[in-house]
Amino acid sequence: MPLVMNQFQKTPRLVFRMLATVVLVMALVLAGFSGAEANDPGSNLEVVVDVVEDSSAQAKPEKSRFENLRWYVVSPFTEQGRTNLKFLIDGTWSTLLMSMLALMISIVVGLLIAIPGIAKNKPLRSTNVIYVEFVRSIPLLPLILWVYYGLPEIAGIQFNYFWAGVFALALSDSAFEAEIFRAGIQSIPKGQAEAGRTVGLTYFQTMRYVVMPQAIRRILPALGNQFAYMVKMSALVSVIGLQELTRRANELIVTEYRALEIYTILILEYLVIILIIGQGVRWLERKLNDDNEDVLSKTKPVANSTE
Amino acid sequence: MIETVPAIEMIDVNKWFGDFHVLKDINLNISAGERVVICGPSGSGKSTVVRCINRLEKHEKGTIRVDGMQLSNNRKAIAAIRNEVGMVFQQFNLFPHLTVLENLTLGPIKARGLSQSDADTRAMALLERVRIPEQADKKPGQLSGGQQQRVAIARSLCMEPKIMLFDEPTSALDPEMISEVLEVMLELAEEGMTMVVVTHEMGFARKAADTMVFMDEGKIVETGDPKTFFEAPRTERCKQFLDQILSH
Repeated sequence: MPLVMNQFQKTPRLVFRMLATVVLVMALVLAGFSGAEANDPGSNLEVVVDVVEDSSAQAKPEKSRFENLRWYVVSPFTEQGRTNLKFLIDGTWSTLLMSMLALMISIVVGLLIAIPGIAKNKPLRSTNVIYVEFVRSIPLLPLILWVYYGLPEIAGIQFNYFWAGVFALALSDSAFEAEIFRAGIQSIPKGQAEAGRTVGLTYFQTMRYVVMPQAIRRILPALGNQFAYMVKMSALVSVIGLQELTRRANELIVTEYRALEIYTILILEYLVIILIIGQGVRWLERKLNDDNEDVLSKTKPVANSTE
Repeated sequence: MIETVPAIEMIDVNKWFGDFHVLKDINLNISAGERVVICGPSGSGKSTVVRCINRLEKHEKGTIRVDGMQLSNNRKAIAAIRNEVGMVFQQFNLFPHLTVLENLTLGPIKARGLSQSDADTRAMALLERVRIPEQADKKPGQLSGGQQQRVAIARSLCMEPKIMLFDEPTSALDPEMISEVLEVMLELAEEGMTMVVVTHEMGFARKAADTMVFMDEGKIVETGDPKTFFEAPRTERCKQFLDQILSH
């Protein structure tokens, strides 16, 4: 029984914390919706006129800034708002797919770069240093532009904007992943690898079965960070035209002229995605740690309950 | 006396850590079934000698042969030698993410290609032998130090080595746990295992050792059978050391 209680207490607390954040922000936004709807469900043209009027005629001090908001453009309660929201949310798939693919590639590349970084051999080690220092120094936005516009000229490779985004994100992130893996591997005591070798394992078997399983547990929080970072950075790929979340928001603003409302929704979209990822990583962390040290604290209450 | 291939042969072995000369002209001949205890003050190079035997450290000069095979940079030779040499560390070095049973079977399954069930059978038999079969499904972190070290011994034995190296196996243990580990080691000695033990446990040395080796400042200062070694050490340095550690 205490075993069940323990898990039961853990999960809702985290879910509650996450939901509370979303609900709080949503409440603020919805407070804006109701005010806006009562105020003025006008057309785009009128909105523009409104704005012009407001800025020129300062003789209306009673009209607060809050009342100028046109929440109906993204309100789930109006036809227009629903269409717009659907348009915005449809970008989620691109953002997620691109970030996931980039993350997977950057983890593999990062690991391949990290391994020479822990070698005894100096030339091998310096390939790691050169790669990390070089790639880490390139800002992501120029890298995206270079991959999309530059690479076709120099190498004759024309990625579409999705793959250009994936490639640039993965390349940029791989240097960080490499450093995370190197730190993780180096944090495992040397005796572990030595013990692996003395029971007959090869270098790669020692890595695979002894060092990496322990290192992964330690670097999981850092990997979670990188994933959240990756999702956020994917917004930059909007500049080359990929229809992900940010691009769609920008396009909608061109037709609706409402920046604040649409960007608020955009930020909420990222917030929800990253909160979910964060909880996923925490869950994974708990699961791996349960396999590891928590076995003792788990078995104890069960033993007591049989008395 | 029948002339056979010595289990371990070290000829003029030298090693440096940077500028520090850790091993100076080490010559050691250990025959099969022999139990050798190496002692000496800390920093004298005794651990390094043991670690050179299975290439955890690389010697820079001289020759080391294990069971007739010469240690070089040849990976196959190193792998072959490690296959015959088991090692027990001061810090146990058990794999914390695996259960006790998995600690024992990892090597046999991955390096020797044993089936899971064969490896499990072999591992359980060894856990019986070190008297902790009931801990098989626990993680090393849940065991006491003495139990962990016994698991470490069983893990090495699971690879069926011809030679066992012990690098200060009881130095990290609480006093009351030392004897349970030494008992296991004594049993192993009685069964005729070739053993090289770095230890300060002179009681164990008296009971189990065929040969005592005393090292100081990277050199082998004195070797001899335990009786003469303890009762009539030839060198002043060795006498001084023994007085120190036996006075308590």
